[in-house]
Amino acid sequence: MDRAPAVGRLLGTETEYAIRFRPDEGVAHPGNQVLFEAIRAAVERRVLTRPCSNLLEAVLTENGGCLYYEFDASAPDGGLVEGGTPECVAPRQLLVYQKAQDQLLTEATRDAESELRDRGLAGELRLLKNCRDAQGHVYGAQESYEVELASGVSLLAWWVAMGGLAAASVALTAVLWLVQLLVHGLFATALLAGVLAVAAVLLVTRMPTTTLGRYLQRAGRALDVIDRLEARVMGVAFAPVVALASLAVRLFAFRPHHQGATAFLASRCVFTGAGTLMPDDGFGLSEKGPAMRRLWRWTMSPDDRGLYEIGHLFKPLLPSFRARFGGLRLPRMDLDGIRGLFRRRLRLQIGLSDANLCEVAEYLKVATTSLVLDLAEAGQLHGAPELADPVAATQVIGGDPTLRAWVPLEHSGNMTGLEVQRWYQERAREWVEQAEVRDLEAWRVVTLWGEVLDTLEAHPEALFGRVDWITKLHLISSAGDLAWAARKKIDLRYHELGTGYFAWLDEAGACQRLIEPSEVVVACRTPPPGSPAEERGRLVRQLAMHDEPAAPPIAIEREEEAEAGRVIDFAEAARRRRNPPPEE
Amino acid sequence: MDRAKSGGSPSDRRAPLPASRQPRRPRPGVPAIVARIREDAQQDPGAYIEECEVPAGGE
Repeated sequence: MDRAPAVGRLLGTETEYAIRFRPDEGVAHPGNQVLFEAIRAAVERRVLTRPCSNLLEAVLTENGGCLYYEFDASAPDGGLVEGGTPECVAPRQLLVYQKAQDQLLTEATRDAESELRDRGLAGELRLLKNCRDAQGHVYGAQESYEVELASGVSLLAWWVAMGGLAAASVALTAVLWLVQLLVHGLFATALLAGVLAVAAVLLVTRMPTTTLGRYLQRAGRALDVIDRLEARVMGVAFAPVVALASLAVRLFAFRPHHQGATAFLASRCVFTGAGTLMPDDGFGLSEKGPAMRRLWRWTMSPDDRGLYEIGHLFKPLLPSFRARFGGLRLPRMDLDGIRGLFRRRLRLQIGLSDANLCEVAEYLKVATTSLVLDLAEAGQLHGAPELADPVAATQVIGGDPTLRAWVPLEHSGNMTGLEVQRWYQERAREWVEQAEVRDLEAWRVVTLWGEVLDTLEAHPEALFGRVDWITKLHLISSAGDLAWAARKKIDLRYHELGTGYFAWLDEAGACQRLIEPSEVVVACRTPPPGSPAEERGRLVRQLAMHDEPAAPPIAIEREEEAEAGRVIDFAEAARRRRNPPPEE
Repeated sequence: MDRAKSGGSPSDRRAPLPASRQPRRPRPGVPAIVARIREDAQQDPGAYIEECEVPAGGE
């Protein structure tokens, strides 16, 4: 064996919470950005925070997490609240911080509802921790695991590919700069000439000055059209960069992980799925599963979803238009992000991830995945099932609540989702048992994993309150004679934080808890010990408590933060704390 | 795949679980909550579904 098994790598989750607002009679819906700002302000009253510099409307919290408004340019008032946990060093620790984030947002949403009412925006404000609405739009959860990107020739090839793509991106951005300056220069010239001409006409003809106002409004709309056209041109210009980056990932990056773990990921919805009532009245185990299109995305299109999410690897190669120079938005490259692509350890992000409420499901989701990644890196997944078509397998396994559906393997034979999971659980159990020093949490994970698989085989209904899709299926089946809309409301309202149907069951003691409420309370205000987030949290507290409004906003880099111009390497600080130098 | 190592197919009969690992049954009180959920679900479900829409999706 290469090393002792340990469920201990950096890991974290990002969760997009849907915003639901039902205004009182006579009140107009203010748009989700206003609602987010109220929730953010409520968070800022509960815990210490600092604004982020490179995420719009974002704050860092004193426990090292972050909160921001996630939206698409096509629907700026239809955005989501996105929360990122601090980096954690163990799955149980991550469960605590995920629950802390959920609780903080539950309380802040309640406060925000009162504050909005005082401002004349009375209504019912709620957050939903789910991944799919009734119209089929998909959002929600992603998991991140720090893994070794590559080694040897593959690593060298990756560096060469990233170097070439970075150079191409910088060159394309320079061309975009010039084109934008030219276009905006011509526009400004035309606008000035137009203003002078209209003003002259108004003086001569004595027409009302509202004419000038209408002219300027039209000019503003023309500028919006130019901005949208520039965004389209940028998308087309950089599409080859994104496609080549995706190819580089397929060929050189995360090879032991995706070669060994894909079948595990495609089938883990048997205990991680949140469940969803489909428009055709069928029931699927996973909310996100039906939206998966491929293993890795080829483009930045939101519909191009992959089991593995690699958009975070493309983003540094694409210019950002958030920089403003005197009102002109010029493209800017993220040079720090590009530098980050050359690190040996990067985030492997899982796109096929449902947002969970049951603690057992949420814990097993990240714990089993982290353990399987350990197995992959230790070369312990020889003979792992290879699915003929992982994406199709996701749909087949996810579409069968009886758990009996078979999926074909690459070479020969078939397996059910449970059988695939059983293979990985057995392999993990052997590996943990054979370790010279048994990792306690790893042992707990394989034991709990085995129990859940046993129960799924024998009496799946006994996992009520432990696995989300089983809990939700029971509730929906109990309302089998009701109209589809009522049963869909059960599906959705199950996920309402603090006030939804899962919360009703949890308060009645029907859901198994793995962590103590006191742990969650502490985690709302304290970063995870032993994590790079400790330094981030310390910095947030220091700057917030000393009330330095002139202090620079903190960039959300996970490895480095800037304090008044001084760069702090959080990973190095965490290593120094774990291994302090000997006293002289 | 070696079915012996995998523990067999779902159709294999397993030994009964020990008492400490018997499947958990829903606790008393759950039927009442389920009834309450069923009642609430029938209140304005169409409006609720619309309010939960995320028009552009997310990541």
